[in-house]
Amino acid sequence: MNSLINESIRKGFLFCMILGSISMARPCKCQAKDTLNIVTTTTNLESIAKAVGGDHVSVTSIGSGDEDPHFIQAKPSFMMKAKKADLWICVGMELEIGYEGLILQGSRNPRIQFNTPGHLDVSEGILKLEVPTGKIDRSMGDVHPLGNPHYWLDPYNGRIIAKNICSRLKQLDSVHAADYDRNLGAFLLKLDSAMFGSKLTQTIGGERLWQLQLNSGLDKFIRDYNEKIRQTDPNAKDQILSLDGWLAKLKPFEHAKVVLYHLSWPYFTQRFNLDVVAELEPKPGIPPGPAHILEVINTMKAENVKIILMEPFYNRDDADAVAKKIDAKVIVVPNAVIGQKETDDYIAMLDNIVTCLSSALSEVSK
Amino acid sequence: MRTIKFSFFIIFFFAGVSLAGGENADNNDMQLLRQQVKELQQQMKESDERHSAEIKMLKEEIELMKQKNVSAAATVQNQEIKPAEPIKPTQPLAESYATKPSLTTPSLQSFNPEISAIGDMIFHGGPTPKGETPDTITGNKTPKFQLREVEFGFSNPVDPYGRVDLILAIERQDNGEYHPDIEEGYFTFTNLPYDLQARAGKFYSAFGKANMMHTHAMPWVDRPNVINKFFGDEGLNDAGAEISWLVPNPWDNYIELTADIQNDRNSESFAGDNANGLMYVTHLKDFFELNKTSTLEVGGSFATANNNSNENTRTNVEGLDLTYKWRPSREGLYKSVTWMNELLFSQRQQDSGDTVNAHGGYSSLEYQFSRRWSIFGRYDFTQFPDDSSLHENSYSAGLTFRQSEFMFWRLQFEHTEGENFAGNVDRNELFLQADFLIGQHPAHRY
Repeated sequence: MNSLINESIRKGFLFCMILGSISMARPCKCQAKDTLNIVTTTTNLESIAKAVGGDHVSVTSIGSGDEDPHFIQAKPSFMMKAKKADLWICVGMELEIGYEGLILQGSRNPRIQFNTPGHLDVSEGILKLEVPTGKIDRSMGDVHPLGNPHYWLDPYNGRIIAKNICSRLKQLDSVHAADYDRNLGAFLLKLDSAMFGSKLTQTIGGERLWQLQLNSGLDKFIRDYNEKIRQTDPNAKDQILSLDGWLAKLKPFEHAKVVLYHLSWPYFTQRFNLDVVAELEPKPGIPPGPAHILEVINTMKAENVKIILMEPFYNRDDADAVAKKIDAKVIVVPNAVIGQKETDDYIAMLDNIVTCLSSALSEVSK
Repeated sequence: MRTIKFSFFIIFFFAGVSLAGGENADNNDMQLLRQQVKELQQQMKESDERHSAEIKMLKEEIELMKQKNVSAAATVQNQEIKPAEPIKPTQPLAESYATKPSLTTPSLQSFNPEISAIGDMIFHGGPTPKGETPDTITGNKTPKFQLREVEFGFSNPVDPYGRVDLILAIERQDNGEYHPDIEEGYFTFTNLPYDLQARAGKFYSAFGKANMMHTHAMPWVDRPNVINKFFGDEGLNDAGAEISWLVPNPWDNYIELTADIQNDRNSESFAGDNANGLMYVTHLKDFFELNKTSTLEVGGSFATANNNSNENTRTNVEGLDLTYKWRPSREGLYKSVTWMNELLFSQRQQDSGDTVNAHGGYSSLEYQFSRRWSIFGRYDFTQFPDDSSLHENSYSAGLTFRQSEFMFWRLQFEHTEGENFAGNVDRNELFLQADFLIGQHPAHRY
């Protein structure tokens, strides 16, 4: 009986192997291609690539947006997605170090390997924070040798991401270069309008506004500008400019103090002039222990901090416990595009953070 | 047996043919690529010059505008959507931003391979551990504390055609001495056409799941008993060559067919140290993404080789594996389930003309219940491939604490019963394991 079972198993195996050989001879289906197939690691990049690529691209993301982007797993199904890609777009700065190499190698797709035109690391040319200058090691927690990789939370870096994607699309698909330029222009206009307000953006132009903002000269510029308008024509009230958008929304809370769960928000807080006082994680990637939590409570008390900012994929129990002790507010807000109404694209995702923060800040400052 | 040899021949013949075809295509592609790169460089150069001229012009314009009445700017209403301006270097930045482009700095260091070192330490309580016999001559007893293994990994691309992975292990032997060993060392051809990939060197055979795991990647302290009994402590691993292929299918599933030819040197199921022949292993892996949070992997494996150096008797081993994984997307840092199962069957021809049929398997369930903690249980059942009247059952349960991504602690209790060559077995063991890694962050296979 036993040997009969074994014999039939052996036959079954042979059959499988023969099936395998037969299917090898089957011709592969080659699709007619009219769009560029893009695979991104995160949904933020997916959203920006869709905006810039428009109708000429089809984009999918391997991350779903609601997980920790450091710990996506190299599932073989992701390799199948990457296998068909013409362009692979990643955040870079070692955010994807735990899975990118395995997926790329597993995809067996020569078009998207490192250092090919089909591999785009959009961190090139972005404004970087926390780039270590001295020697680092893992006693410091999950430090990234190339700097803090959560740079998409600065809308200025969002512009650079879009520009990087645009120039790569033009390189890969030069026929539609003009369309990509136009889409990029529309995306930047939308992003800048959300940042500065649409009147200011349309009057002054996004590039100029950003240069002023980066050099902390925007307020002075608007003041001078309005002064000159008043001097030339006191009745031209419709030409008077004012700051609007995200900057205006968070302006009243400049240098408001916040505590973070993970060190993923510095790009955002720095852009909008919020001060980070402490993190709940004692070191990046190390979960909080009781002693550190006590320390954070004391700091928050001493500095009168009322806001804890964190992503939804972290457990909020510790943050809630701290908030309860000192009557603070925990803001749990996604910093990635998720298929929900308020976060269904990159600009909406940033808008949602600004809205949540400003309403919480105005509540606690009452 | 001829059928098997013949089907292998077919697989490798096809692989060889497609490889040769790919070479030509590659050459043409390379030339085309070179030409495209040249054209691109030319275009870049031109556009660079154009852009810098434009930027210069723009700067002058801005200066002019500043000097004039600013209200003039108010009339510049660019409501129409215009193509974006070209990327230009950012103006002076706030001091806190890093201005040095660390990512693109070329450095000699980038030619150094990625290096890692992993240490595996155990405390063993109970009678002699699996696979070890107390030294009856010297009376040496197995020490309680053992640094089981230190493993050094080196990997990097070699050239545009592939990469090398070297894993050197210094392992504790049964006699207490440490011996360096090349656990794996292979070149992977990453640039083959037709979704093929090939390896040459020494590597774990593509048989099932547990056989291919490195000590530190296992969810248990010890390898399942069936792998130990069928393939030995070191698993099925030898020098040889491998080719694998992603099988096209209408569902776009990940279906991988792997074929290995390696030395027939496994002494548990096959011919052992004196063998001159070859071992053939094939593995078919099918991976299903059931939904966003759970996956199922089903595999079948087959290994065949002579089981003595006279090359007149053979052993065939078949394997079935099934792995289910669940990990919620949002709470993925804190919760996960892995259910892993394997069944192995072996038919071993004896000199007498009889065939010994033996089988074994395990089922393991691991549940991660917080960011750092998980519990697991495993049931093992195995016969001995050269004597199916003997068998061992074991029951393990344990707890893993992941201190960080780079170090974990594991406590495991294991009860084994049954009958082996020494007689009845009724053994309780307690393991405490500490495993640590320094160096390059390992990318974990799914």
